[in-house]
Amino acid sequence: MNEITTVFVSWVSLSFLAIVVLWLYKDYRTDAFRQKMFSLRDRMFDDAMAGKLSFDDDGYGMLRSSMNGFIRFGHRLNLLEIVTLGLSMSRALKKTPKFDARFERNISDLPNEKQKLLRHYYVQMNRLAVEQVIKSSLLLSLLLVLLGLLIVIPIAVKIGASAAIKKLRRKYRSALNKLDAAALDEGDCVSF
Amino acid sequence: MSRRKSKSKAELIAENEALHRHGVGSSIAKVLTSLIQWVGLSSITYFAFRAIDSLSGQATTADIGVSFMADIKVSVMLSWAAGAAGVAYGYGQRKLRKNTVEKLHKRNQELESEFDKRRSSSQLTPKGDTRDEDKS
Repeated sequence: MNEITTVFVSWVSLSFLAIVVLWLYKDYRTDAFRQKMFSLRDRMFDDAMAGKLSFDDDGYGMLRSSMNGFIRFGHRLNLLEIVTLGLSMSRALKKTPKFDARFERNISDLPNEKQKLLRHYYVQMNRLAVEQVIKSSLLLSLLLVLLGLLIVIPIAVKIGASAAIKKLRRKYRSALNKLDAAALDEGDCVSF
Repeated sequence: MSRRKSKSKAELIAENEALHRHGVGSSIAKVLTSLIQWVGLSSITYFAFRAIDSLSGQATTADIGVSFMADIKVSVMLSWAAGAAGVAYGYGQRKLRKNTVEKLHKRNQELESEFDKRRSSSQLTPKGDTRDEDKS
């Protein structure tokens, strides 16, 4: 191939790849995330239908509203959004009760079996949200993994692995609380 | 029993402030995301034209066209055709899925509401897409 052909072929191929990665893949990830969250919401509904949960439980309503918030704004769930969310909402969220504290308060009066089941759905909801954040931001998540490896490993070696894990879990929980609270607020604004 | 009724005035004010700040943060993220997308695509085009520009004066547009048509390989064309066919197939499947969602969602909504009177909704469009007002 001569130079011009090589340039043209490379341009078309790279442009096509960029469109797939930057637009089409993003749309696919949003649809896939929503589908999984709908599926989780349906499973929770089925458990309520079967009597394992009650539609009137505040914990159930809180989780359903949060799932709705995640589904509604699934197209905005990515690493950049989380970073800006963390920076912009830190101060505002300090004035409201933390999501996990509100959730625990709402399920505290329920029997153990119901509490266990609702916590399971809470964990699954967060797992889907984190998975979406990682998978929807390919380049940024690669960068995050690299930075994480560069920062986490030296810290773990320096202050001991268990202390480092505890510290990371606190940070992870704090970030998820912000995300869940935002999803609940968005989902809580709407009702059928 | 409603969660909203159990919130104090201070909590609602704080929640309102959080929503407002969330909106600001989201706008910044949206601008940055668009910037990454368009800068990426523009850079590819810019460097392609820079490469072609370096050949200016050495060949006419007609020369380039003839040379390209003679030089392009069948294997490259087949690769592009395979890529385009993949996208078209994916688009067709997506359309089919959205049509099914549209067909089933109302029935699902009605049946679920019979059992859960406080049923909340994700507020997506009947086809499961983001509403226009949520895109901004």
